[in-house]
Amino acid sequence: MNPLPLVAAELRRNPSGCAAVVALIAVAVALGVALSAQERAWRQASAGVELTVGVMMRPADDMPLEHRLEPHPHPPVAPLPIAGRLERSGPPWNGNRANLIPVEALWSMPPGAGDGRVSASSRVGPPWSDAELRSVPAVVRPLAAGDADRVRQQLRGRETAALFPIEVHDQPYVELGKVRDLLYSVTFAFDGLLVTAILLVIVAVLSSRRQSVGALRALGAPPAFVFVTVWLQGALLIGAGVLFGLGLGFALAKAISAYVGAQLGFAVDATIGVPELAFAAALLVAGSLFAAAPSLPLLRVPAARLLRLT
Amino acid sequence: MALRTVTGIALEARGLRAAFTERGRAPRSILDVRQFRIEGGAQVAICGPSGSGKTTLLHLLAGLERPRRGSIRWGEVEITTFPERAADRWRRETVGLVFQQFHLFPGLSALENVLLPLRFDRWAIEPVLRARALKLLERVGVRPAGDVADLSRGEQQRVAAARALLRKPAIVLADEPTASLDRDAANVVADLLSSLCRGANATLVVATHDPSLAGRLDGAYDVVDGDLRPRGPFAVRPPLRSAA
Repeated sequence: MNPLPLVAAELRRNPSGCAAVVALIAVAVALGVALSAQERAWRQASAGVELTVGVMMRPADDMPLEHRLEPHPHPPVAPLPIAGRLERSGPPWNGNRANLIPVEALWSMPPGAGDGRVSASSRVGPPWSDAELRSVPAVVRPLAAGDADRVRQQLRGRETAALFPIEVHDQPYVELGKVRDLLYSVTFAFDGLLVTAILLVIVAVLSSRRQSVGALRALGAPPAFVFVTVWLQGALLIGAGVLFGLGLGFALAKAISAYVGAQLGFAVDATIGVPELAFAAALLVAGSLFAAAPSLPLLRVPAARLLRLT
Repeated sequence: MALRTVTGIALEARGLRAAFTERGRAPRSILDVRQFRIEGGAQVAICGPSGSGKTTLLHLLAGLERPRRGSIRWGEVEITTFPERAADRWRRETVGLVFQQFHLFPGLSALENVLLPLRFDRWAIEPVLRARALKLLERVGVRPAGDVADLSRGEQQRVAAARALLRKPAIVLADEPTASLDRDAANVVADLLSSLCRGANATLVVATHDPSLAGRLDGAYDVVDGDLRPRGPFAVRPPLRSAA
């Protein structure tokens, strides 16, 4: 059998409808692909530069000395040798970005930071006097992310020289969270729309093609011919949508990472990788199965009944 | 693959009963045919008002529907007990169908519409068959190229007639082939159907309430109370006209 001429004719009959279905699928796929590529890119970007044990680094630089292009104008802390590496702690966005340094390194920070040496008569712990506080280094461990944010808001000022962990990760977290939530909700909403649209298309196709399917059967077409003809139409549209979607998703991922990266000063490069291709392939398979749906009910109705509908 | 061209075999029915089932309604007895015989190569009209069972009779002959009881034989072949695949094959290889609403496929050219029944069981069309399709289109006077949707209704039915005859069927069944055409187009289609079948020595059974069409054929049956009554003695077959 050769259903291709008939398939081509049926698709040509309704170019705008075909284009709409392809575009719907393409945008849905693009959103999914861009989201997945983006998330992976950020995960990789936030893993940072691998620090090698034994190499000298300045803690504030966050990278080995030999990786810096220019010397730090005001090195706050003397270079320290990297003594070891912490176990990866798990949170998706920070990997193992925290660098632990000896507290003595903080005490030896330039003027204004205080030397931190306490006399025997000094008392450690609250209540602190304002005078003491201004020159005493302290480690504040907030219990929750909100507390960390509050600490940062209260203590951030011209007089303090401090590292607020929340500050390092806060901005990317917020931005990434926004981007991701937005993408997820748009994708979900779109997928809902897509399923509805495809169901409507199936109903429309079903009702408009009953007679021509009846005619095909009457002319002696085997059920397999009818099935392949109807299935191919759907599968081709879905395949085209997925392919366009991959391209569109690639462009979208690049655009988003360029924009967000520029906003945050991060270099993020989202590319289409194995997970995105697997996602597209899975959609293609699911879509191909889905495309079989419209012809099955038609094949169960006797051709004579389909022909009598006028 | 060569086309089978066994013609000249009579169609015979006996004790044929059929019911017409509409969705959600009880089956309605519609045909109760005691006996009829259509000689191979004859051209017969089945006349009667709509709803009298003409279409059901054609569907039975085409193997599209099964009777509640009775038999239809084409020579040694019993049509009513065909399994589905055999019925499909029967329609493909032995029967040519012409419908009131043409049932052409828009988006395909006239040539591709005529070739469509060949696509059911082969990938490529043999040059001989393509040439035959072109010859048939020339015979019915329709250009092979161009979307059939752009043709007039008369032209569309002429394409449908060419399609029905492409596989050299032994039997051509036409259901009200002229009912949706104007007078002139109807005459052209009626003449073409008759002369094409004559040329191919195919048996032609036409369900119609068009007296002008019925008058061109060898004879007519009236459907009365579900049975077929011959309308007067059948005419002597006219001599063979130009062959397709």
